[in-house]
Amino acid sequence: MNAVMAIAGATFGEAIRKRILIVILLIALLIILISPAFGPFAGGRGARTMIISFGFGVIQLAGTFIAIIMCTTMIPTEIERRTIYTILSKPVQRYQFVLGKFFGAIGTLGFMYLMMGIVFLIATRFAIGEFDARIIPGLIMFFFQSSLLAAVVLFFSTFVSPLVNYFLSGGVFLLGNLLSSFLETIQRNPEVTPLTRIPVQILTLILPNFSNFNVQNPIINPEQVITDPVAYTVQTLAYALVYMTMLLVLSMLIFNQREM
Amino acid sequence: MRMRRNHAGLKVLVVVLLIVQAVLQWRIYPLWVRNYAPKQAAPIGLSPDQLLVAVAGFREFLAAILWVRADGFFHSGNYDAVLPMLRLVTWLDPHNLDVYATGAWHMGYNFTDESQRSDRRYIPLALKFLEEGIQNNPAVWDLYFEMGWMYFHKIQDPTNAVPWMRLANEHPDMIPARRHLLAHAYFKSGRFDDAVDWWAKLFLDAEKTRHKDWESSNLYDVRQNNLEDTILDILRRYGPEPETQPPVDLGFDATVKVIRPRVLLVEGRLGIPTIGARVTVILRDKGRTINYSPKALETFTFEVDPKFTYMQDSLAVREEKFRREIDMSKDPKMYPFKAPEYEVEFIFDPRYASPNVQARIGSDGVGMYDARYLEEVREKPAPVEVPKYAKVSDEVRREVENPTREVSYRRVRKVITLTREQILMLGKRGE
Amino acid sequence: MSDIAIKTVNLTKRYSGLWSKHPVDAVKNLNLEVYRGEIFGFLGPNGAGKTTTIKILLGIIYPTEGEAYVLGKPAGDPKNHYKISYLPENPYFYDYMTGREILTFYARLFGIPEPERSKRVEELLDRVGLSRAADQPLRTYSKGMLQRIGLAQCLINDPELLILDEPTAGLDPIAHIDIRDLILELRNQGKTLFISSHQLSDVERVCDRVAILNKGMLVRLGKIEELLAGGHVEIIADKVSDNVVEPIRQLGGKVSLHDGRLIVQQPDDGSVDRVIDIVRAAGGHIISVKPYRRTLEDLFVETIQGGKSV
Repeated sequence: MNAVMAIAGATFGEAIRKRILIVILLIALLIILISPAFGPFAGGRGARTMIISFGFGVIQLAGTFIAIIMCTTMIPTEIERRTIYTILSKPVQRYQFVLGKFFGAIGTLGFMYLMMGIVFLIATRFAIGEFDARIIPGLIMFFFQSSLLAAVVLFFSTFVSPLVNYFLSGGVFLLGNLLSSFLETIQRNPEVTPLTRIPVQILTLILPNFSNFNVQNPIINPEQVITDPVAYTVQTLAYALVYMTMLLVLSMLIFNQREM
Repeated sequence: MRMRRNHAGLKVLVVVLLIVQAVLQWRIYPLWVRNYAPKQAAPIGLSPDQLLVAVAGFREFLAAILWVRADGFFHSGNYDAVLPMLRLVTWLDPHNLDVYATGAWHMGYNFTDESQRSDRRYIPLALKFLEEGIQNNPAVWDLYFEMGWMYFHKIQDPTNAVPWMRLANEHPDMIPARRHLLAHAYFKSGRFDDAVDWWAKLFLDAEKTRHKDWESSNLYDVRQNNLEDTILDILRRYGPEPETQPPVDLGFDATVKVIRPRVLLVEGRLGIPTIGARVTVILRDKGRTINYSPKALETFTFEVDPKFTYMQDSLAVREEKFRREIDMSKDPKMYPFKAPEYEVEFIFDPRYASPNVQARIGSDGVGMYDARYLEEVREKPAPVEVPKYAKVSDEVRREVENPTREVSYRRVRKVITLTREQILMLGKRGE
Repeated sequence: MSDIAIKTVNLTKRYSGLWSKHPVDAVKNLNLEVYRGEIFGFLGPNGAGKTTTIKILLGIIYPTEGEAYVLGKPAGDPKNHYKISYLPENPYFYDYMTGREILTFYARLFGIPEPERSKRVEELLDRVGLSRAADQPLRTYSKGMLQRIGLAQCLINDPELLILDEPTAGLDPIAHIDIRDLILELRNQGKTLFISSHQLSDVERVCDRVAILNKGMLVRLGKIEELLAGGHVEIIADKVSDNVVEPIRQLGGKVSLHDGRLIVQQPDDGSVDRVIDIVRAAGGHIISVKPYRRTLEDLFVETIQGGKSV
């Protein structure tokens, strides 16, 4: 575990110094800070909707970019620079290396979300005049969404090149965000045959379902009443953990067979 | 030689985890659909880039921006541009109650002709739009109320306003003053017992909090007055010595004359001695009328039938006479006159007459009589389909889904048929 | 305990690319034995298969055929990794870290607990002469300093076997000497050093034995003195008459004589005295007797160009 934590620490230290990630974070923070200026466009109840929706949008987008950009190159760079040989020639198992990289990525995402979350809370505090704690569960869900995405990217990075990975993981993220909506639409359409419906249903059960984490809607519109929010949150977080574990085990299996 | 290990245990673990996540997803999906899905009838029709923005999580933000723009269109009178905006905004943010409420009001009230007569062909659209809003926000009172208000005020159908007001009143967070409207709807529709009961219930509710603040004590006073007035009205009109008897003979009649192409002169007589009575005049394609129900449309659309002509106006009665020139020549979009025959309908409905008129003839018309045109209307509210996740008691759900209470009222109604040639003055001298 | 540190038996690594039809043998039927306590030079031009062999020894890649043992255990055995260490060619270290931080990082990979860890790190910094630069981030280090940090991370576990891949590549001559001294010092402590190189420098000259690899195959293997045996001695004399040429030729040397000046290149096998005797007897005047040793360069070039296998 010491080795895993050491690798995670080194990964975190390197990631938070990566220029592109810092730029994304700073842009996101800046946009969130100036978002209260949009409020007067909508006025009244609309102002709150607008600012919170916008803030969540910026944070989700930044989290997505950070996760993809950070994780695509994380392992390939280590191989290219031969740092990995100095690590794997030490008593470090490959699975420990993958685990360390993943925890480093999660740590980085956590740090970035913490920064954005604090600025978001401050910005909304000034924009709508109250400290709105309902934002926090939404941020946590988005953090888990980005973490799951990081696991997906890391998994792909064990067997495809970074460029392919950008498109692959970007595509999976998009698909994972749309599948449930798509399934819901075709389920309500009586003209869709089971021949179309069943493959979509199977896909939603296999692919990582990122839309599960998009729960900002009732936070943005507090009038909406949610049934079983606790059960939903618990199951969704469990889903994230199970799915991430599965991807990590798969990554380890592939990485173990891999020749560098 | 140490070779690559097989890791059979880990492979089994992957399969187990795959199954566990699928089970979790199976359980999450219905909850997600219920609570978080962008429940929209038709995401088709959105361009991919709009979809992308929506996916990226800026849905509500984009909706708010568009809504601000729609408001701009609205204030500049560009009404047609507002409709697609409404569609887009509610798709992006199906929980934006303001957009549904304002949009329905806009469709119900703001499409008018030169003489400010509203284009009532848009009302079913407004109802459908509100119904969609209710399906998307079943646990919020606002849109049930908006629907009830549309029936109560715009359509002047208190019978069908009642079920929607009932549903709105099921929500504890409803604005107190808005709760009064159910009592008014009961009363207007002829359910006097229910009106008294509802005022009594509201009064007792207000009594509990009357000392809380000025607003609460004011509410208490208002409800007390209303309860007393309602009971007094009922006693005066239907009590042992009713002021509504003997009935007034209305001697109702109406004529219509085409004075220029598409311009009608309507006049007639209604024998009510006091001021404040109004006669409704409707011109429509023969055998066809507007179905004021959200069920009239299968899906929401912005289109009204461009061949359907429907005009409705309300004529004030002065000294027992009414007369109005109705000019339909300037708005061919609203009055296309494509059908071969038209019916001109004159109706006096006492339910929406002024209080002093109702004091004499009753709000249900018991105190009026007409030898030729009197009709007794018996009706029940149309069944309302209550959304599955509405926060409504079983009792109210049963009541509005299977209405049993029948109401009746009297009105006078005369129908005159005109041909297209007559209205357009075809083959006649002059035009 | 066996006295063999590394042993490979018919080791073969075949790369069959996804797109290419012809598989390439990066290493082919390699049989090697490296003894404990020696400095073993693993030489060969770029692409000879040196790094591939090393990666197999470290368990980073897997052999296609054959076997490899390190310290008596199959290559890649995790337990071995406590006793060996590896310095890759031109390694990159997390350059935001300071010298002290990077050594601490590697010490943690070994699970060395505090306060032992800090003590070890300080010792190593001192040993490679980086104590003064210990708190500078690595990105401010020169190439030589980075290589010294690389060596320091190799020593963090006090290994029995060090595998150094091109340890002097890109370094200036003074750094070469530093590293050579360090290697000798490590050998004196009883450690085994396995050094790969594609170029020859002072460092390779300290090797006890070398193997020369070409195109994946072992072409030479042996003690450095044995491989370099068979130099020649150049004898120059003046005022020599023509009649000495024939007897000297019979002794096996190359002879040239112009205007009384004689140049003989005589194999270094004890016949040199006889040549000198003949010249003197003929009244010649010896100007110089200069031995020419066979160099590693000669051997290397000869071997690679000859391409013959042992």
